[in-house]
Order: sequence, then C-alpha cells, then structure tokens
Amino acid sequence: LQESAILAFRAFDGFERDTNFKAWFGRVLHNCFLQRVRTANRRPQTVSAEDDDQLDALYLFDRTRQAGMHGRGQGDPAGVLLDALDGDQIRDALVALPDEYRVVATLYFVQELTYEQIAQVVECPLNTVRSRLHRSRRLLQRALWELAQERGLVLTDDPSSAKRPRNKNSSGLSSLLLMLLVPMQACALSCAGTTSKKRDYKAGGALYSYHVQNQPFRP
Amino acid sequence: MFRINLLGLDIYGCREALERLDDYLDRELSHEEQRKVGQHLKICHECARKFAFEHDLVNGLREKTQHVALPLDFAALSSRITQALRKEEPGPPES
Repeated sequence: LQESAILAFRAFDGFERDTNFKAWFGRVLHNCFLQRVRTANRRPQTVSAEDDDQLDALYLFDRTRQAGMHGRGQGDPAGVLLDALDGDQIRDALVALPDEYRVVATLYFVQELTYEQIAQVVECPLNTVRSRLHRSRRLLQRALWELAQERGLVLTDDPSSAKRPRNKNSSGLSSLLLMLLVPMQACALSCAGTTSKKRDYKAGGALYSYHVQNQPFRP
Repeated sequence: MFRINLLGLDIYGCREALERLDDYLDRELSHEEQRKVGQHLKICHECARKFAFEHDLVNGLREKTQHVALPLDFAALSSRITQALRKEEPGPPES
C-alpha cells in the first residue's frame, strides 16, 4: 500500500482534477499489485551461489550477538526475537522460501517430521533432505532477521541494513511523503471497502527490555 | 578448535562439533558422534551457547508455526502426511 502511495505521489501529475480520486488511486493500487505478482513470478526459485556464501551456519546467533542481545539478564535471544514476531509473520517468511526449501522446512517445523520421514514424503535421498534442511534453516534465519530489522525490532549497525534506501532518506522529503501517505492510505482503505487491522507489533527496542535469567544449555 | 585426544578421551573440537550442530539437535547422528558432541559441549561454553541458541530457535519456530494457517496446498499436504503417519502407527493390541 505504501508503495502504491509513493507511486501515486510520483504520478500525481497524471491525475485529472474534478475526477474520482478514489477510483484513480484504486487503479494505481491494482497496477502495483499486478507488478508485485509479476515480479514474484520472475523471482528465481533457487538460491544463488553468492547468497549461499553469505549464509553462515550461525547467521542469527551472530546477528543477535552483534546487536547486543546476548548480554547478561537479557534472556534467551532466540526466544526474545521470536516473541517479537507474530505467527503470521513467521508463516509468511516460511512460505516465501524457494520451493525446494519451503517444502522440507514446513515438514520439519510444522509437521515436526524426522529427516527420514521427510525423505519418504518428498521422495528424495536422506542427504538431499539434510542439505536442504540445513540451507532452509539459514534462509529462514536471514528472513527473520530482515523482518525484525524492517519492523524496527532490533537496532543494529549491520552493513546490510545500510543498503536500504529507507534508512538513508530521513530528510524533509520523507516527512512530506508521510503527511501525504496517511490520508492516501485512509482513502485507499475506504476505497477497497476494508477497515484498518491493527497489527500487534511490539514497539522498537522492546527486545532490550526483556529480562529473564540466561539458562544454561543442557543437551 | 582441535580435536582433543587426551588420556584416551576422543571428543570433538569446536569445528567438528559445529559441523554437526543441526544433526545433533535433531538426534540424527550416530550414538558415538552424539556422545562426542555432547562431551564437547560440556567443556566448551561458547559452543554450548551456540547450540542452545539454535535449539531454542527451532523449538520457538515450531511453537509459533503450530497455530498458523498454511496455504491450501500445504494444508492438503499436511492432511495427507498425517493420514500416512497414522497408517504407519501400530494399532491397539488385540485382546
């Protein structure tokens, strides 16, 4: 929706005065949706070698530690991170995995099948399941971390987050855009005949105020 | 970082233990490998923290995804799997 509002803002010159703004914005929204679907369909279903290189085995452990979430009295960092995300967000991250990883990951996390059972279901050798599961875990960890960053749930100076243009443009233009976005969103929602659903996101920085005792790991 | 073989004790070093992280947590290692990783975790606090993190993460993800609605194709697949697993389970003993 925000993407649509930005597009509408850019294309506002094309809007004819004294015509139906809701209908015009509805068309922008629809075109934006179609564009997203087309982009998603073009997205490769496998992970590139470059991506693979960046997927270290302890991706989320390292990121949470860099973000200062492993201090004494801060609780179990994995649990704290997951508590800040709701089930739907995690489900979306799971569903967004490339096909070959999504299937095994769903069978593993949701159905809680063993490697052997997964191998039977997907009719693959056990080692293929093992390697796909290994990679799907790392991909999911990366997706969860990006999600936490997007939602402002973690504060980090991770260089990958600096690539996001939204973090750089905190100038007056952003403020102006925000002022336009709010009424446009309301307009689009009423146009689509929906009501705004309040999301249950925790406030930024909530992760840092979570205090429980660190529990030693007992395998 | 090195494999420790002292006084006949043969246990893994950090690298060997971490290479087996997923399989250890899922109990997919041989009994001997499982023992060696376990021994390493008793003496290496850093690795123990890493394993504990991954363990908590998998458990948390499983909890979080238990009650979410899956897309239709997965809902259907899940149903088939559950049925298949039920068929595998031995029935109640005949009296």
